[in-house]
Order: sequence, then C-alpha cells, then structure tokens
Amino acid sequence: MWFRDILRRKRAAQTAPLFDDAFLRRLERLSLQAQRTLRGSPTGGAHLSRQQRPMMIFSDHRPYSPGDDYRSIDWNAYAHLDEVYVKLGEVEQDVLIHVLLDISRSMGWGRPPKLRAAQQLVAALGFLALAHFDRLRVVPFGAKALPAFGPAQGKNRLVELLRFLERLQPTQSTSLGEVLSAYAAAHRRGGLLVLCSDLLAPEGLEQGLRAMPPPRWQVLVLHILDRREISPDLAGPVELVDAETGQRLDLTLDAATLAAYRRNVAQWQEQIAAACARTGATYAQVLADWPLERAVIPYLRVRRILR
Amino acid sequence: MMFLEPLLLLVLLTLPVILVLHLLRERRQRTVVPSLLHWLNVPRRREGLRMRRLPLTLLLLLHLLVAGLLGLALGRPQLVGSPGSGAQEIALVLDISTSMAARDGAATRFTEAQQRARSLLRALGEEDRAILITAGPGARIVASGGAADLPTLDAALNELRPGGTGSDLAGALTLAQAALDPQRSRRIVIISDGALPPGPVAPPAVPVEWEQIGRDAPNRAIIAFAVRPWGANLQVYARVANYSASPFATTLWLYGDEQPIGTRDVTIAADGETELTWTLRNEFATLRAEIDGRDALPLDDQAYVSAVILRSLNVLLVSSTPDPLRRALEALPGVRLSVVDPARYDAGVGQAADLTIFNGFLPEQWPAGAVLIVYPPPDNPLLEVEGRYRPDHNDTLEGQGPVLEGLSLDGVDFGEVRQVMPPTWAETQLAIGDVPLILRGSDGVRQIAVWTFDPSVGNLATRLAFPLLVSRTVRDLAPDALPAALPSGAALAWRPDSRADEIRLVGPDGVQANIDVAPALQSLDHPGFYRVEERDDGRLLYASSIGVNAGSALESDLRPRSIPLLSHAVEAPDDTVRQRAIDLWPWLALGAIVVLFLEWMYIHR
Repeated sequence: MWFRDILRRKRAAQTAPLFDDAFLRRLERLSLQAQRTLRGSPTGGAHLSRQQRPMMIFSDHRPYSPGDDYRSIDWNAYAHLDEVYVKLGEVEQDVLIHVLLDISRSMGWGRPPKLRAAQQLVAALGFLALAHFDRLRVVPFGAKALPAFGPAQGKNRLVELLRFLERLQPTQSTSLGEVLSAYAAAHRRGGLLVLCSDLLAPEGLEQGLRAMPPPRWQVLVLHILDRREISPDLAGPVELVDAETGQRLDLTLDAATLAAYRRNVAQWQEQIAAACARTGATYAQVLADWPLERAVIPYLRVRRILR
Repeated sequence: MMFLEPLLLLVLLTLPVILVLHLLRERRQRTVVPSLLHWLNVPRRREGLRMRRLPLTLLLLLHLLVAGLLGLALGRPQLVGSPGSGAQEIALVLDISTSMAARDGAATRFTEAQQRARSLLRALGEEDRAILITAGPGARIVASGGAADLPTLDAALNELRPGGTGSDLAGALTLAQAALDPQRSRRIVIISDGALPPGPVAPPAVPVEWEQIGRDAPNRAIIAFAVRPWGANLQVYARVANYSASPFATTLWLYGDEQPIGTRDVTIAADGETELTWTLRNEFATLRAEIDGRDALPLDDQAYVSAVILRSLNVLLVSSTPDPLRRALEALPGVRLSVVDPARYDAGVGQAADLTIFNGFLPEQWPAGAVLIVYPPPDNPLLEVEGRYRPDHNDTLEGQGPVLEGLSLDGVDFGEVRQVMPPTWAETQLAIGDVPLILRGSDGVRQIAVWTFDPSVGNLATRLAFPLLVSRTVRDLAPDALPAALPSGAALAWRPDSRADEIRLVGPDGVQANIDVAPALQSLDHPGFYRVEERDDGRLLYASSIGVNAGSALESDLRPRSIPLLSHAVEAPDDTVRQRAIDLWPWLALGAIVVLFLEWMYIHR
C-alpha cells in the first residue's frame, strides 16, 4: 500500500550501518577456523595446510630426492648421519571462503529482520576473511544464485563488501538444495563454505550438503532464526500468510496448537542438525536478535568456527 | 425529517445480513509468517465453535456503519422545516372522476373522500390555510381559505359531485403548486382511488401525500357504444366489459328513441369483453343500451348515442351556368341543393340557405348564412375587383390552410381570373404570384370564401382535386355537426350556425342552459342525452342530441390500482424551498465514503 511504502522508505533510511570501526578492530584479532585439509594457495594466507614442503621453518625431515632445493638440505644431519636429508616445514596457505547468503523473502521477516542479522554476520566473517588474506566470495541466493561479490582478497575490498551487503533486499523464494548442488558443481576446487540461511525450504538441504563433501569442502551452516519463529506470540483466530509464497492458512490458535507448532519446529531443527552431522557440516543456530559482538561472536568461537 | 424514497429504506435489511455474515465468518487477524511449513500439520480447532458469540470487531462496526449510512441515504431523507412561521398550507386534491361514484359498502368512494377531506380541514390550525382542488377531466380550484373559512370550504366540498372520464392529476398538482404560498410549510394531499390516466406525472417541488380509497369491487360496464349509417340503415356497435374475477351473464336492452327495440343475452368471461352489433332501420334519432350490471357503479351500465350523424345543409347556388359546381355539390352527403338564376335571386331566397354560392354574380347585400363567391363580377358593391389576369405557366402557385392540405393543384389551368383586392377580414389561401385565387375569412357575421377563378373555364373541373376542393370549402363554411356521443366530463366545442343568436343546452336532468354562441364550449358531466338547439330570433335553425357516457376502460375498472410514484423534485425552483427542505443524503453518502476509506486503510494497514 502506498502509505506503507512511505513508512517503509522512512524506516529504511533510518537503518544503522552494519557495524562501526571499533568493532572491526576488535574483530581483526579473530580468524576463521579453516581445516588443514582444505586446498588453498600457498602464495599467501595464514591457514596451515596439511601439506609439508621444504621450508626454512623446520618441522620434519625426509630423504633427499633429486630436484630438491639444495638450500633445504640439513647439513648438520648429513654430518652426523652421513645421509642427505631435507628439512621440511609447515605451509601456510590462503583459503577460498564461500559465503552463501539467503535473501529470500522469509529472511526479511522478524524483529530485527533475519536478513539484517545475516548481513551483519556475513560482513563480520567477510572482514575476517579479507583481513587474513583469504579469498572471499559472497553469493546471495534465493531461488537461484544471484550476482556475487568476489572473489576478493585483502582488507582494501572491505568497503566494497559492505556496500554490496547493504544493497541486498529480500526478493525471492528459497530453493536451497538446487542452489547448493549447482554451486558445488561450479566450484569443484572446494573451500570453506558458510551457508547463512533460515533454511525454510521444505527439502533439499541434505542433498545440497552431500554435494560438498569433506575434505574438499568445509561447510558451516549458520541457521538464522527469529525468536518468534521458535515461540510465536500469536493466539486466537488468525490468517497466516506465507511471506514467500503468499499462501494463506486460517487457524484458530490455542495452547494445543502452539505446542504442536513448537514440537514441529524443534523436530525440524533436530533434522537439520542431524543432516549436517551426517554430511560433515558444522551447524550453528543464531537468533536474529542476538547482539553480534556480545553473543554471536562468542558463540561461534565456542562452536570452533572462529578462533 | 421525512423520507422521499421510503421503500429504499429496505436496504437497511442488509444490517442483520452483515451480522449473520460476521457470525458465520469472523474476521481473522492477518499475520505474516516466514513460512507455513510448520503450521500445516498442527491440529485444527472445530470451526463450528465460533458461532457461539458475535465477534464485536472494529470491522463489524465499520460494516454496519457503512450499510446504515448508505441505506439512510438511499431513502433520501430531508429535513423539512419552516423558515418563517409555523403556519402551513395544504392543498387537497380530490379525484372527482366517475370511478369515485362507485359504492363502497353503504357509501360511495367520493363520500369517503369528502369525509377524509373534512377531517383534514378540521385539523387546520388558526394560521393554516387550505386549498380545495378537484381533479376530474380538468383540474379546478374550488375554494380556499383558512380555519375561519371552514364553512365556505365545507359548503364547496358538499357541492362537489363525481363524474367525468379521467383525472387531470398533473393539472391539479400544477394548480396546487402555484397556489401554495412558498413562504409557508406546504404539502399536497391527494385523495383518490388511483384510477388515473396512464403516463408519467411530473413530481412537484412540494411534499405529496396520498390518501387512497376504494376497495376491490366487481363491475360490469358498456365501455363503447357507436353508430354509423350503412346505406338506408344504421349499424350499431357496443362493447361490454366484465371487470371481475368471475364470468358474468346478463341481458342487454337496446332502445331507439326510448322505445325498446331489442334484447341480447350476454355472457362475459372473467376480465373479458364482449362485442355486439345490430343493423337497424335509419328511423331513430337516439339509441340507448342498458345492462343489468348489479355492481358498484350503475352509471356505466347505460350508454347513449345520437343516431343523427350528419348535419343537413341547405345550399343555394346562384348561377346562370351552374355546372360543374352543381355536380360537385350534389355529390356531397347531407347537402340539399337549390339552384337559382341570378335574375331570380332576391334577399328573401338567400335568408333560408345555410350556404349561398354566388357564381359570376353578387347581390347588393350579403345573405344571412355563409357565402361562397365564385368568379366575382367587376363593379359589385361587396368586393373590389380591379381587373382580369391571365396566369401563364411560369407563375408559381402558393397555397396554405387546411382546405388545401394534401390537395394537388399542380398543372391546373385556372383560366382567366379576377384580380380581387383582398378585404381586411380575408386572408389569401391560394395565389398565383400576387394575384389571389382563394380568399377566406369572416366579416364578423358570416363565413365567407372567394374563388377568383371560374371553375367552368380551364381544366380544374376535370381534375380530381375539384370535388375535393368543393367538399372541403363547403364543410369549412358550414356550421359543425355535433358529435354522436362524448365521454362524460368532456368539453363540447363546435361552431354553430352563424345566423344563430341563441343556443340552448338541455341536460339529461332537464336543466336548460343558454351558452355563448361563438365558439360554443360546454362541459357535459352527466351521463344521458343532452339536447342542443341553435335558434335565430326564436326560430329553430338546428337541433340535435349528444349521448354522454360514463363507461370507459379507465373508470369502470374498480379494482385497486397502484398509485403513481410522486416525490420531491430534486431541485427546488426557488431559494425559499431550498431552505425549507434540506437534503441529507449527500452528507450520509459522504460519511459512508469516508468510513469505507477508513475501513480500507484498516484492512491494508
């Protein structure tokens, strides 16, 4: 309605920035916990790789093979053992971090909107990736993947990332499984994938996660929820309207109905957690009204998503 | 406050309908949820439980408010107030048509109407005023006055008698509106049985109230009775109608000159009509038909008609060469023709003729009756003839007037014509250029026509137009014949013999009245035979009868009728009336629109 549009524009104009400079400085001390099994590029980055190569920083030996760099021969070992060994060191690599951000209409629901919380969370994770010289790719999606941000590397791309995130508006319905499968097929090299969504898609999550098997993929599922989704503050005769499809449902809510709903939600969360466990993905549930710095970041550190 | 369209207040019946609809389907709080995924399989409460109590929601109140405002607006409420004093004027319109004479129990409908009118007059306040108007075949203001004039109004009311076909309601309303003082509170009360002529009636700018009287009553009537000459005989036609829900059998008696000449047994179907015909010898002056209706309205059980259709005309043709005029005149029905040579004409001969035709001759003075002058001679004392004129084929023929209407005179050779200077009393009906061919007028005593051409010369006499021209001219100059019959209340208008100085009208009740000679006009109200006599200095010139009949399809059907819908004119003709009758419906409609807008905002909030 026209009057609602006016009010909405006014509210949109009053939205605060995703976060301030002080928070960014504090955030810089953190980094994403990437697994060593991920295949990155050894040209930069701060993530340790499972691969060991002749390096100046010693960690192990192996017998010399023709073609090895002479500079890495351990002459002291040769003097003692009369055999030529090469010093091996741990390799630091950058990781390709994929952030899939759900911008379906259901993400626009909530107080604050779940999309707002997801934007803040993705911005924080993106900042961590850029600050630690990882390659970052942020892909908003609804029914399909939309134009993405990145791949980007380095903190100088942070402003561009924040502007990209701020421009996102809820637009489409969700098709989670298809988006994940298609994305995995398009990026066979793998990487650290952060799925930021309310997961309100009837099916397809597990199928999508199976398309991203470890060790090539490390998947973090951040399940964004509004508190009223878990425990709705509704009662009496209501006409429920699906935010994505517009489908309507007449219900008369009482204690039994609400209890059944809560059971459904709990069962759904358990199913998602189980699907994540089966596919090797890390599952974390984030409520939209949690303060990012005081609640979300500590929570993610506990869940070993950040370190 | 009054409602101009009270029937439309039935729209307010939507209020309980709205309540029932809200009971059946209470308004639910619309809530957007991110997904219906977890709501689809929750247990549902039984919907029938919602019927137990009425959900008093804002939406229900808004719906009731909108329906109420629209329903009231459709009723077109008006605040009728008096800008000045509290005095009011009332116009009582009484239907006095024939149907009001029908019996309703012990009294007639008209008696009931008089009683209601008296009640209204008795209720007048000291400063109030009443106008009594009758709506019969014509509308008429009978009396007017205030409470102090109650005896006068009562007397006028008592003198009224029902009779006449048709009720001029439109005329009565116009009279009432014109007579009512716009500075006072006005209203019109119509007391009628609803037997009104079909057709719309313009609503007056004054509140109108109906007092309908009359109950369903079966009636039988002779609604048509006519006669026409058929050779040496008369053909008589009658139509009898039965306005009731059951068939009716009766006997119809036919009287000639008030002597019984035949009876017929008649059976009429319910709501049906029966037609009857007779062939009689042409030896009766009047005919009367009668049935035993045994019904509420005896007036229409009889019908009257005069059997003398034509008015005989004594025509004197003064001519030395009477043909071809004589041949044309002899062919006219009802014409008794005498031909006199100009040398034998004198004033005494001309006095007895209704129409004198001078062909090529003019006497010293006009005869008493109508005159047709054909081809006037020069040097005569009555018309100024300036010479002769021979029209050629290039001259344009210009004609006008009812005598020449539809008459084709193209290609007629009028031969040599006299150039007559048109007298001041005459107008030119036919001319070639500036030369008149036919002049027509009246010198104040007699009807005169002048033909400036000689019909025996040229080719006019050989054309079909000639006998038609002669016939129309004779009928135009001759006095009118009286109609054989009229519906009661109709006005009788005719042109009597110009020689008549006295006209007597004798009604069915034997009452004699003298009426104006030219033009004669009289309203005939009572069923029966009226006798009309035209006299010249006591000498009877013409006498005939007219049958006046009460039976008609409009008045004889006594079953209740629906009254016409009369309401205020939307726009009052003057500021005074606008001040006194304030329309409320625009404000109510505006309120409904505002509430609708609020409801729309509420729904889409």
